[in-house]
Amino acid sequence: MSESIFNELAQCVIDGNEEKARIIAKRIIEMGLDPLKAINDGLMKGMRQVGEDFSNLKIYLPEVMMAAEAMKAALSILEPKILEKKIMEERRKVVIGTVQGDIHDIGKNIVALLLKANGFEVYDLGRDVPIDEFIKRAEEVKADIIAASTLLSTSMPYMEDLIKMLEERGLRDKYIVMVGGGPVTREWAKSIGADGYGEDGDEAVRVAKELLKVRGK
Amino acid sequence: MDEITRRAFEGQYMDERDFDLQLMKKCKELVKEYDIKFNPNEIITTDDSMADDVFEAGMKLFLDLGFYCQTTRKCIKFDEWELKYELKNLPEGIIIGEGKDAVVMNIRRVEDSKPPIIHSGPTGTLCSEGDIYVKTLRSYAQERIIDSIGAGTLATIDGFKIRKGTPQEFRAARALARWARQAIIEAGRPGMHINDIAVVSPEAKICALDPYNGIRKTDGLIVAQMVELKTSLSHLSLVEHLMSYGCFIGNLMTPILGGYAGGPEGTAIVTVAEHLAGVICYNANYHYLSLTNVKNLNGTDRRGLWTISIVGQALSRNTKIMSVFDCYCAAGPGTEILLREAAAGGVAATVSGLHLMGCGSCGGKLMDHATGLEARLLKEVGVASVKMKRREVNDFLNKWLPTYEEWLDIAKAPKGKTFQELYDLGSVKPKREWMEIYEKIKRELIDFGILI
Repeated sequence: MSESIFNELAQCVIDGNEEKARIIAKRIIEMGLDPLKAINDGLMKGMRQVGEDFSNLKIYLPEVMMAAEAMKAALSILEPKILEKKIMEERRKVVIGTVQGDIHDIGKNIVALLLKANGFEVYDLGRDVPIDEFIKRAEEVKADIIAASTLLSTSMPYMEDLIKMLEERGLRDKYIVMVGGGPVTREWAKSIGADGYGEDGDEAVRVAKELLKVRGK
Repeated sequence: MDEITRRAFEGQYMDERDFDLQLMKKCKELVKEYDIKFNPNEIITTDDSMADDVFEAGMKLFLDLGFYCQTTRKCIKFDEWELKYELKNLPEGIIIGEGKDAVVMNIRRVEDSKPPIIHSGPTGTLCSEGDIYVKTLRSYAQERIIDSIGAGTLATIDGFKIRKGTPQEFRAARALARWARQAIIEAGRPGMHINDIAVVSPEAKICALDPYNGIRKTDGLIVAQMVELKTSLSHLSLVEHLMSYGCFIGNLMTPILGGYAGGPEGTAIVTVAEHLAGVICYNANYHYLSLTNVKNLNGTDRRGLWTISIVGQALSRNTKIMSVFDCYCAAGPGTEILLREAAAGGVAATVSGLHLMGCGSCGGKLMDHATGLEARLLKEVGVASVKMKRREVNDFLNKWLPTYEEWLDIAKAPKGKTFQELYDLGSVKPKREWMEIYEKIKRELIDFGILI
């Protein structure tokens, strides 16, 4: 019984049906089912499918945004119940932005959206972000991950500077640093000492989760 | 420009996120309202009324939303009569370049018998500086069939990493223009049109303007739009200066297929709107349609080619806008796949009333992955396909795309080799291995009825 209603919730996310997602979430609470399980086996399952479909271009950004809205609607009902039970896991925090000199942000927005939809607490600094701002914000919110994006080759050196600045300030080991964006390659990411790279939003989420696991966070 | 600046300050305030959401919503509504449908088996639509609908929807989108100014967070809006007035007064053609190397760039219509002009160069590709850069550009300029060269992006200048907004970016702008001029002189075509120098800051671009050793009035520079339908005061200021200098202005748009506008249908609508913004706000002489797949960064799959074709048809049936398809490929030079992508792009664009630009490769991720040979093929295909009808092109594409489409995933696409590996650096001629691949694809194209 619980499996079928969780599947129904997953489908609401896939369909981007905000209203139905809210109704199903309420029903789950009324039935006394575990809200955390509803998130993991319903919402996250649906969102995984959405991420995969977007990665395979079966759907496009508007559908992903609608799915995220449906997820948000259901979460607004499920989360308070989890908090009541005090079983809410602490969410992992990501500080994300497009680096200095670059005013393009659609790629960064997609990654931020998918991270949020996958349960991360995302602090989006916007675009043209000076590197010290990434660090300042990460320190403030006690972030786990700093994610930097760019579409411009002339802004790529700032990613390198970001890692160097973390080293200079003795903060490098404190954060997982991920990079991505149009001209950024896996090899280049490795060469500057970044911890992770995502070819697309879906990979970025996967890598973020894997890196957290490896670091035992 | 005064009126545009005034509207950039006095227009309707909108948070940028709301503008994106509005655009997303409106594109969706317009696709539904006009019943625009992507057909993967008819890449070149033969439905004139659908092309006209895409034009009308694009116009509606632009008039409703306007052009978003990121600096002031205001929407620069126009009335329909203002836009129609600008469109009516566009010229039928322009002369680009100078002296014996000048070429006429005319408006093209659907199934036009006039061959397309090709603006070539290592578009969006990171390049080595100095001698290698000059030789890379020369590899394009020496191809007699090529009409114009543009720039790649430099990673370094005098060994110094180029960061946006630094003195090195300004120096790079001057060097890029100087090296482009050197390349066309070495190729024996000193008056050839140079269509851009690739630095990011609008302020740095201005450094390239130099009638003696840089961008002349017969050359051009690109003014970019931000995704989707956005500009800034810096970009408008660049337009102001280029207009007073007197060189050509290219309106660069990079609509994202799969982004805010959704699938091919919505992307086609926003792309039309971005052309209109380029006409009225950038005073553009020609427009670069650099369609970008959200994942694979190319424009040569079925969805991409359908989109550029219907946009080309929409514009050429309803306006005198000269649009150039920036043929961005997933694969790299030295591979069959890149040439297959270029051939498909060349045929699809030509029959749809577009001009050509290219080829970009590997999502611009790999250094020095650009050579003149793929641009030669792109233009040859364009010239060879001018007499083809849309139905014939569809038949060709439906047979041709299966020869490469499984390789378009950016992670899977063959990366090929660098310019230095594929060309003899002494003679600046393609090496045998690259020529053999080119000849093979050429023979295949002839077998498929494209008589290049």
